[in-house]
Amino acid sequence: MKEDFKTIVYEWQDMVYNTVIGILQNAHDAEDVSQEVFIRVYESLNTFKGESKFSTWIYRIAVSKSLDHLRRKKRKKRFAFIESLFGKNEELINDPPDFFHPGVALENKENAAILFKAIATLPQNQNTAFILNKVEGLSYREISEVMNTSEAAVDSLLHRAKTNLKKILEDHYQQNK
Amino acid sequence: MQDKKDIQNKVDAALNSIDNLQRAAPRPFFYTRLMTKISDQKQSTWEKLGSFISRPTIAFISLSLIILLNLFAAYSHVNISPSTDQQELTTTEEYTQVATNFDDFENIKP
Repeated sequence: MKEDFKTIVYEWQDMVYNTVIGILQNAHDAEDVSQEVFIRVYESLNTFKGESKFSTWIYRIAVSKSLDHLRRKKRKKRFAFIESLFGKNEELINDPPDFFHPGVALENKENAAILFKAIATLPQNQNTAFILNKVEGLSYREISEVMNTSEAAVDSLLHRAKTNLKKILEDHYQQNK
Repeated sequence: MQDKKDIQNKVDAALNSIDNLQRAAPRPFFYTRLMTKISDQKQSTWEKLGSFISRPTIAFISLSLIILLNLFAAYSHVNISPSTDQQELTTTEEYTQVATNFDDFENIKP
């Protein structure tokens, strides 16, 4: 069991980490959540029935753990803001710093940081589909299996994501002329 | 017009910036750190249970429940005690009879 798990971790750790870091845009959080993903795999490895592909199963866990983490973080941020209104929490709530994906070529670093900032503002489903497609390189069929939806729905999500990103980026460059 | 074209170029450059993205990898020794976390979690199961029980809400509810159960038990005991006395009397009489019989049996001379 332990040896099987070790093999699984070595085989899938990059794929899990890359997906998680794409969604969370924070290296420290990505490490924690990747560990949570593998703890979940460790706990439920015996109950995996093989109804879906193993890769699909792991991607699903990675996506749902990442989205849970984002929700927790948002809730914490909101609570900190309320506390700061009552003077209990004096910490300043700043925007997160620019995220630099470690896999981006040096010459694209600045442009990619702006793009990732725009991706973070997309609705959850569009964000997930876009990350799985662009960052993990999954096909429409694979994304549809992970997100438990049809290929047509994935196509629509990605189309809307690109349209929204264009608009956000246009606004960004318009303001920073 | 030129401005719009410039902006469009920048937007395209940003959208294409992650086209040939290399896969990000966790820091070395990820597996070792993961196994440490798993064993830490295993050790803390009893600690988790302890902290759950010692929560003020849980402790207060448990204490109230124990007091209520005791009160209920005491109340039902008071209610059934007369019949129990009667029962005890009957049982004692029966035992006396049995004992007498035994005595008689032992005292029978062949």
